[in-house]
Amino acid sequence: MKGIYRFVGSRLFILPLVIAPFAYLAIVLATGLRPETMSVESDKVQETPADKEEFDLSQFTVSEKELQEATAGTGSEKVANLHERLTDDTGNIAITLFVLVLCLTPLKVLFRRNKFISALNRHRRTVGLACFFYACLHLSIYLTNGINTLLDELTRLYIAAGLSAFAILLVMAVTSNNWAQRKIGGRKWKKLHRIVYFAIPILIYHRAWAGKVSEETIRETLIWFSPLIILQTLRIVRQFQERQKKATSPT
Amino acid sequence: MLIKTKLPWLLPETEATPESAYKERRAFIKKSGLATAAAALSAKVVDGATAGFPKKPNLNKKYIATDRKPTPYKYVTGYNNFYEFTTDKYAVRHLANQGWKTEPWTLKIGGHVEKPMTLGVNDLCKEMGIEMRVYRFRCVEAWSMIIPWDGFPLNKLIKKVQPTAKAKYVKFTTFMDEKAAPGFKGYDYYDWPYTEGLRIDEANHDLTFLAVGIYGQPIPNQNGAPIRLVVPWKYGFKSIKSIVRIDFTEKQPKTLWNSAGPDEYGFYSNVNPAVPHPRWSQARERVIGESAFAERVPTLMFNGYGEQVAGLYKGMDLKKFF
Repeated sequence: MKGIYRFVGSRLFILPLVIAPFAYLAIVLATGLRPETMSVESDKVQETPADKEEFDLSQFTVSEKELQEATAGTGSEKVANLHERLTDDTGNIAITLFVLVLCLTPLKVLFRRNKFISALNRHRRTVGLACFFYACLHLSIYLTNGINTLLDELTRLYIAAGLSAFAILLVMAVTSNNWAQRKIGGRKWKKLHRIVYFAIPILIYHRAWAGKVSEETIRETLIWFSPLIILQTLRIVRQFQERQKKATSPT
Repeated sequence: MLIKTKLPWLLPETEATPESAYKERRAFIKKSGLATAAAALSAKVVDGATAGFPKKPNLNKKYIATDRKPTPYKYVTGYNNFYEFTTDKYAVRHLANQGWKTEPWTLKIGGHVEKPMTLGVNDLCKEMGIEMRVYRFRCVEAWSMIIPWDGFPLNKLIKKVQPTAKAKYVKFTTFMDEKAAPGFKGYDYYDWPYTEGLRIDEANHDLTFLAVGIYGQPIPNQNGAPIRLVVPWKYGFKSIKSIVRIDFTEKQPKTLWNSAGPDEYGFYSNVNPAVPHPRWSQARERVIGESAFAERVPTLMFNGYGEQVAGLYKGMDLKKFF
């Protein structure tokens, strides 16, 4: 039994969680960034300038395979808008990790003697940093839209929310190492890292308003965040009770 | 070394291929071995899906968006917003081809017209004649395509039904079959069936098009078979798919997106880079089929059709009537 707890608390246990999304992104990039989607067939044109007219017309013909796939609905290509897919995926991964890491502390408070949960709680920093890493990817992909889009959208509340959540994660990631922890000092550090709770409503807003359909994404987002909301609420109740007990106890 | 030459889709209209050469090319393709299989298959599709669809539509060179390359067919037919099926743009293609019957299909035209009528889409194609136009297509989600549509201008049909003086607006309605598409129940907070509307002068504009094909082939289900609207200077959602009813009304009709989000989707929904969506900018767009990390390109006022349509909105505050 002890072995299991040791394993759960070890780095080996958390490794797949960090690697799996990487593997997924690698697959997406490998299947998505094919030469044909990169070069847009323009090389062909440059080689045969004499056939300009022919090329122009051949633009409007459809291959047998394409036609069959379209009318049977069997095509599997998912790269029409790879930018959008990568943005959505990295954002969703970051948010999943965010919810996960913020469930760990309340679990510890609620089940103080559970060894399994204590073991899991050793990974808070790793999961938090993984979350930050995907947030970085998410933001970088968004930034490839160009500086003009960023400047245009800074005033959109939904984009501003995403950026401010990123700023919070950035502060936490930078101060997450042992050195910074020591330098700032335990109590102050703990206080500083409470800014993460501001990120909860900000990220709910950011996720809920991502997309055209508000109601569907709002519903989806609330379901997504529900473990976090429920556990944090229970935790607050528990800590309140504990404090009252302490205050009323004779010792 | 990369030598930049002028690409064929940058040709000015005067330099575009003459129609005769285009037709010859089509005939040549038909004869050549490789295309025979494709031709045989497309012939089958024509019989099954839209018997009224011509073997070779004429390219109307007056309406070619020459500034960008046409979007590959697989993207046009594999990345669709069709909420009757799903909100996943890649999955529409699968769900719309699982037994949903788009043939035979009748179109009912009524309201304030002299001659209300019910028409089979195949007969309508034969009567109206089909031409190909290459239009820009700009989605409200800030992505865009260049699509060769086959169809006929809506004003041809309007002339046929003779609207009365009371007809100030045109209302379009899509199919509603809960067995054919899961979205009606799945997304029950929308006001189904999908409806859209145009002012009568917008509907009569020469650019306003009813499409029955894409790339010279009958339009696939996911793109709005068998007949859909194409209004190239408005955001894509105005171009309603799979139309079953067209009504001429006196009052501005209710439209699905306007009802769902009145602050976000206006009745006019003209492509306008100066009026942002409340949540994102509309100043730029992602070109579908380009590299994932390509920068967005500027969006043009009225999607590049300002010269033709700006007159329709003279004196109107486009920020208010977005």
